[in-house]
Amino acid sequence: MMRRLALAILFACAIWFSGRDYVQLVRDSLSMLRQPYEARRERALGGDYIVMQRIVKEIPRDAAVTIVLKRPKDVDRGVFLSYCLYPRATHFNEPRTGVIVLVDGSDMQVISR
Amino acid sequence: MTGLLITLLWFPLLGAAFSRLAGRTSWFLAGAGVNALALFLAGVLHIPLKPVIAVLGLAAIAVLGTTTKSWSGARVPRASLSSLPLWITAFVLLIGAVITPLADYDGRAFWMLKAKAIAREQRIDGPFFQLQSTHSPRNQYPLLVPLDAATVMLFARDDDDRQARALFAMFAIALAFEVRRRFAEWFSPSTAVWLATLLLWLPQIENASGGARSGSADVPLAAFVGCAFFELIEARAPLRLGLWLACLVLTKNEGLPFALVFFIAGAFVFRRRILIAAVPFAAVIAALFTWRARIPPTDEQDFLGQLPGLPQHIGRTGEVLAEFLPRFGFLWIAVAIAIAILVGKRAWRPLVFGLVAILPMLTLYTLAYVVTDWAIAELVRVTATRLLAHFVAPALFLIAAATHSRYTEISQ
Repeated sequence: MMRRLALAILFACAIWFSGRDYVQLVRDSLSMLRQPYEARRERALGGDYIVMQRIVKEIPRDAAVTIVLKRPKDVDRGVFLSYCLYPRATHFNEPRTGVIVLVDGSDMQVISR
Repeated sequence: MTGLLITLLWFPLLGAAFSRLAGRTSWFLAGAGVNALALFLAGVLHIPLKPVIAVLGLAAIAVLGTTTKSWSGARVPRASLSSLPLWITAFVLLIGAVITPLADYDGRAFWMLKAKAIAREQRIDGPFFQLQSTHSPRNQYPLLVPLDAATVMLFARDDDDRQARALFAMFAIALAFEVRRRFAEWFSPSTAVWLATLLLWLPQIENASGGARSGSADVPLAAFVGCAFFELIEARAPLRLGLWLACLVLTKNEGLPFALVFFIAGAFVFRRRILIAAVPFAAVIAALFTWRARIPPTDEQDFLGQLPGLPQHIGRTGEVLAEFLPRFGFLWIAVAIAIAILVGKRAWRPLVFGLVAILPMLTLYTLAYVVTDWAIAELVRVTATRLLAHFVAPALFLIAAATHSRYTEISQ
């Protein structure tokens, strides 16, 4: 009896904390199921991803890219951009060779080719 | 869908072969471990990865074709209506992970990028790891998870991260099923099913940021911690313990101290037979340090190097505890109660096993927060849930031992 009570309390806590996540997962899965994967990404990752994909399409796959961060706090966006640009060679800030992409908050653009 | 099929076929195939040789264990986790360990050792020796994958597959088929099951007498829980909650949760988690895109920071920035590079370059010390191509944050992070993800990408002939989505979810699901198998043997089938299901409902396991739906290596580390911990309790198969220790070392930086703790505990459990576990463990440590000597570091945090500064930072302990303790959540309240019950029952053996698996590393994590040069509140906010996930199997074991009158069976 005590064991069942203990397990019931633990499950109630787990459902309280994770139930919303699971409901959201089921909803997202059902609504995304028929969408192309890129559309799912745009929906899940939002505006930054859409901007990054636009930049990815602008840059040839064999180009070297310098990602210039306007502010140090733009580093996370820069890292994601670098991830999206793979397999293009990327480096940050210096030396400013190849294609240069400026990351200024959510505003990202190719400033030199 | 291709990645899902490969994940569900390739790793269990290798794990089934390993189980034939070393005794029954989680097919998926053993397969993921064997695959990555073989590829890492081959990579350090500059052997191309594709032929190694082919040899692994042929060897697994040969083992399965020429040997017989060695665990026919062992109790293996059968699928039944009572285990429906576990199967449904596992199904929702797996299919949900496959359908929804990867969205977490660490998964993309650190782990999946390495997997893409390995799949493309077929090497673990090629231009990417020499910093001659793409920016590689945390360049010297261990490679078990990226190697497994790269294997899926190689089979799929596609280095898109969606191919590896099922792989990450399967680490959590495989751990849950291993918890069910072990707890059914040691406690009762119903306790086993419910605690295994609970594991997949824990916020630190199910979430999309560091959990089973992320591309992070914390859930794989938790899975290997669980497997190593169960081997210590069972005290039967030092070779399997050696596999899990090697996997811990290759999964995350925290895995090495974790493995050392389990190795020392294993010396008391296995006595001289611990030497069998020492062989793969030592080989992987040597390979890891050889590989790291060949590639430049980037922005890795050197927490162990900061530990000598502990006396100067000891005054921050109160701030660390104030930030860290509220992150523990309901599972750890249950663990504290379970510990009190086990003390009351004088059930020393399960208590000692559980505490050995939890306390040393929990202390190390706390000290890492104390000596860090990051803002403590920010670092704890970002990492605490993921670090606590590492202990989920020992935590559930303590709860099971405390709530079950049959705990005495494993204290013999």
